[in-house]
Amino acid sequence: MAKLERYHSKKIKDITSKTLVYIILVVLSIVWLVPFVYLVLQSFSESYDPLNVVPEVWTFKNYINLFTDEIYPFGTWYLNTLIIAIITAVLQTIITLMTAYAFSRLRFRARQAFMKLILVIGMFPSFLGMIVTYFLLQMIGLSGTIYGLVVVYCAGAGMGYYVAKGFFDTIPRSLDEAAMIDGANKNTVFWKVILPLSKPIVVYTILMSFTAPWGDYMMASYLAQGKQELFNVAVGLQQMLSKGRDIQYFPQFCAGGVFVSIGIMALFFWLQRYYVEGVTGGAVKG
Amino acid sequence: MANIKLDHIYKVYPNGVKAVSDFTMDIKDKEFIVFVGPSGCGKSTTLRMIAGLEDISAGELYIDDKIVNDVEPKDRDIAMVFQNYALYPHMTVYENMAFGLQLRHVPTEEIHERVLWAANILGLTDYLDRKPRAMSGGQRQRVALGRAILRNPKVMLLDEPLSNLDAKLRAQMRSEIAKLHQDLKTTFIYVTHDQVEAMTLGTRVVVMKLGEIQQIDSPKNLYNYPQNKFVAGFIGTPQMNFFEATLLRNGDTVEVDLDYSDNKLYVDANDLIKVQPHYFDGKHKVWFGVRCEDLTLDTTNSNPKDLFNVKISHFEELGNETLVYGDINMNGDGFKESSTRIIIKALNSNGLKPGDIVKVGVNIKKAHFFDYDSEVSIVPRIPSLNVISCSIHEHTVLFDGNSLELPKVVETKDGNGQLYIPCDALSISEKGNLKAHVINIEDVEGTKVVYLKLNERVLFLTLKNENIKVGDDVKLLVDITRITIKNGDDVLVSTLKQFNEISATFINFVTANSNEKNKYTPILNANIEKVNSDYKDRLNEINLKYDKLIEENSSKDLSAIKLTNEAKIKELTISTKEKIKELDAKYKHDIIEVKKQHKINKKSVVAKVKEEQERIKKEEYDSYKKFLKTNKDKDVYHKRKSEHEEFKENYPKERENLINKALDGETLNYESALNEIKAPYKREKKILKNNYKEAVKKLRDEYNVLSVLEKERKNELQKLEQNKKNNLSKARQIFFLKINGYLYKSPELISNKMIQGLGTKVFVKDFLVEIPNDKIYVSDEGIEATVTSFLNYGDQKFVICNITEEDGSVHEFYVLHNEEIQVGTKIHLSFDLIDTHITEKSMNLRIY
Repeated sequence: MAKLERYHSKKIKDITSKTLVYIILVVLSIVWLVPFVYLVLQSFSESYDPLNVVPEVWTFKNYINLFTDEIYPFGTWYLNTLIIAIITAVLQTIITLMTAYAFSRLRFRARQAFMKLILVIGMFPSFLGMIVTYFLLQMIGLSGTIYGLVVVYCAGAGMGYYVAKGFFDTIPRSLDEAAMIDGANKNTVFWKVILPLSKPIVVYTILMSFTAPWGDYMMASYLAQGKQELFNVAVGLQQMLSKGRDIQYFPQFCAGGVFVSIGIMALFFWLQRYYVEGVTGGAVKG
Repeated sequence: MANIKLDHIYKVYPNGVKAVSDFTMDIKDKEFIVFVGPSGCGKSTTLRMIAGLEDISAGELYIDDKIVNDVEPKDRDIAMVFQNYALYPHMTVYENMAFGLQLRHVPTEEIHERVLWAANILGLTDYLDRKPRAMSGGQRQRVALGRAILRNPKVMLLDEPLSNLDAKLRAQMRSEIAKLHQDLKTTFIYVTHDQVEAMTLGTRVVVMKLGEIQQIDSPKNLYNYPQNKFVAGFIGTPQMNFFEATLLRNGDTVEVDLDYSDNKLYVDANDLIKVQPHYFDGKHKVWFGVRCEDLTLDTTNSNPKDLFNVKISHFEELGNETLVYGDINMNGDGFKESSTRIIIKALNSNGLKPGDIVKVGVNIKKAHFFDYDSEVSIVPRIPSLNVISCSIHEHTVLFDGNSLELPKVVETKDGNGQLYIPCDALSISEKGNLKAHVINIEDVEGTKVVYLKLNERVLFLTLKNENIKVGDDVKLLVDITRITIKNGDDVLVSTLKQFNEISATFINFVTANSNEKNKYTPILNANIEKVNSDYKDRLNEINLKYDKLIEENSSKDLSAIKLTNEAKIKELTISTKEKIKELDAKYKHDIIEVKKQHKINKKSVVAKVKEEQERIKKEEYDSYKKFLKTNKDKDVYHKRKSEHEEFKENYPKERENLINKALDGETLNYESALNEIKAPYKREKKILKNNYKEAVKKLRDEYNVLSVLEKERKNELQKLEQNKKNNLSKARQIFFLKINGYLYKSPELISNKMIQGLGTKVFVKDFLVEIPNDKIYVSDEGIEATVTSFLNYGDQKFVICNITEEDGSVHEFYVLHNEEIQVGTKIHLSFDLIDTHITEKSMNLRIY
């Protein structure tokens, strides 16, 4: 009998603890979701009314206005952002992964020192170098274009090697060695053996290097020097709210916000299927 | 297909740890060499150095007589199998095997052929389109083997390939590897820590410990003639029994006194004839080793003097035989590994009980003896030293009724002592004055060991070829310069120094030339001149050849060929495109089919599991219902109820698990099926494209003969240019050894070794040069020396001279020279560096 009671009391304990956990989770998800839901709902409303969360009249006007409005050329901003983000994502991914591979596999002088130095430098906020960055871009003649931003984003790409290096470290070294004996040089090993095994980390790096320029405000607004045709979406959308016309443009701002998140979500869902683990299964005895 | 030579190889890590020390070995073609030793003994490091995955700190590695120290792994023509297989997980078995050949740009058809050949040998034909993930450990290792043999390498390196497999598979793969070696006829080098693998596979086995070679020999010789206690203990299971003992010779018997025990054996001295005689004094401590199968509990036929008492402690039954554990110390427990514990192999325990005291017989002819401190065997297979008690009186050595005259120049003290004569210092010669009788000749791997009876003594003499027979009477000549007479630590007569030592530094051409006022410029110029003239000759040859070819071809009219070939190319393009289209269509169709099938299978698999689970659920509920109806007992009811509750709770989880498992299985099948379509599709498409490219190139070349020829010429000229560059830089590499202010031009062989071994540090290190006294000559130039005395050994005469180094230290040199030179004369000594030994002083690395 005693055994049975204990069995029941354990069950009750289980149920209560699970209930508690779920309550906390639900509260947290509401906290996270509310702003986004609010944004989506507002983007369909006729005009901004802070008290009415669900719009009275539903309309697509805001979305159409985004691309037809002459004051705020959202289409140009979107294109700017897309170009910058894609180029940055590609370049940054390559640089980051190559740096990570070098730190993981090659043994060279001052390797440890380099890694520590990068870690320390990474602790400084990037805006400390803003003035210098500006003059440097001017010197190489990229100060008035969106490509200046690409250079700025990619310049520090190697510093994000840390996560990828951790991943490469888990790939057995004997794979490299086997490939080297098979006739590969370091370059072939990287592209033909290590990269195909590192899909999760490649996807992660692409996502990270895509989202950073996608949502960047500070550098973009600074380097655009107030020229509308050089804005990215973050800077542009902020403009909508900054000229005292915030009430009027708020629904349109929300529509822009939704549009911006669609891009990143599409990318995420497309890449998600490569994000599965277990790619290395069977390489070596586990 | 390849000989490998490891020449004084060292591996020193940056933190100063010596992982491999002075590894020297010759590996002959088609040998199966096994490196064996406990973990951390440097066996894998050595293998990885051969593979090129680790740098060699010092020494040279030769493959087919070429130094490959700085050659990339891929250019060494080796293949390696790793302990953890190291298969590329994203490739199928086929692609895994083909990868190496693809990187070497082998034509696709040939790759296909070779992959099929290897797969056939290893029984992998059915798995070619699987990924490693879907294979078992044994199959994966087979793929790794396949990848290695595919390239037909000069050397196969295997790094503990079987240690990840279970015992049964290991035995199976072991025989497969043995078979592979037989079939392929390639040199195999195999690393393992498992002595069974080492003994069964190796033609020769290298036993290593702490980075040093302990012994290199055939498995049988390792077992029967271990050179030290480590090898004796490492090879053979159960381990050899070791006891501490002293040996005392009394006439024809030797008393073996075992420590920590009252046991003493009295054995015939003839059974221990090869034991180095100075251990028979009853004072030197030795290890007495005997294997468990050379001990017997059945003492009916034994000599009672070979028996000793053992207290039995426990037994290990192995089925076909029994290991009896005991202790030769009546107070010992026989469980701990100690120098009194004894293991005896017997057929059965024969009614013995733990605690019994029994007599054990020893086969003393198979016993092993090792020095207590150095642990080196004191029973050499080829004896190197004869030791005889003697006395000296006025330059005459007396021993066993024989006498040996010493030259007057030899410094001696009168008294009694031990005479040490190296076996190779004895020779058979008419001039000899010792008469001996040949009683036995033993052939040990090409060296004849001759047992000579000299009055009552047995002496050993080693010969290579001479023709003598057992029963011959011979005359012996003793090389007086090499004998030693000692009385304890007191040296009465010492060996003449064989090597003269002096320090040296290594300098390059520029330094040497500026020191010697451009004396060496002509040497350099001659070297460069030779390279240049060779280059000019080759250049002319190539130009002539191509000028002729171009002239022959330029007169032909190629426009007709061009027209027909262009038409052919067009045709080919169309047909290839069609073929590819067909292939694509078939591929798409097949893939859709498989996907469809997968969907159906998934559903049916899940349905099957669900059905089965539903049945189980129904059974449980029915039985519970029935139980409720019939049961009256409260206790039983509670028990049954809780069981039912548990079932209710676990049932959904279990169902979920089973469904997932079934789905995983189906997914694996699906992936394999996909690969089976994808891989051949990719392959065929590639072959089509390649064939097309090659055919087009061939057709185009036919009407572009002139430009093709020009291209060829350009390539060859480029190669020549590169060659010239290399040769020029080689020609400039002239080095010198500076010995006491005098410069000796370093032969290329030595320069290479010095630079290989030490890199740029070679110029700041000090070296010790050892010159044998018969390879140094009195001549007009060379290091300066002052004669201090002259030694006359009868047929050998030596000049002794002093060399004062710049730092003031004085070296005494012995020079074999037949004419007397007055004391105090300044002479010059010359020698050939090829005859010397060179050692780096600070790390004690033997360079040459």
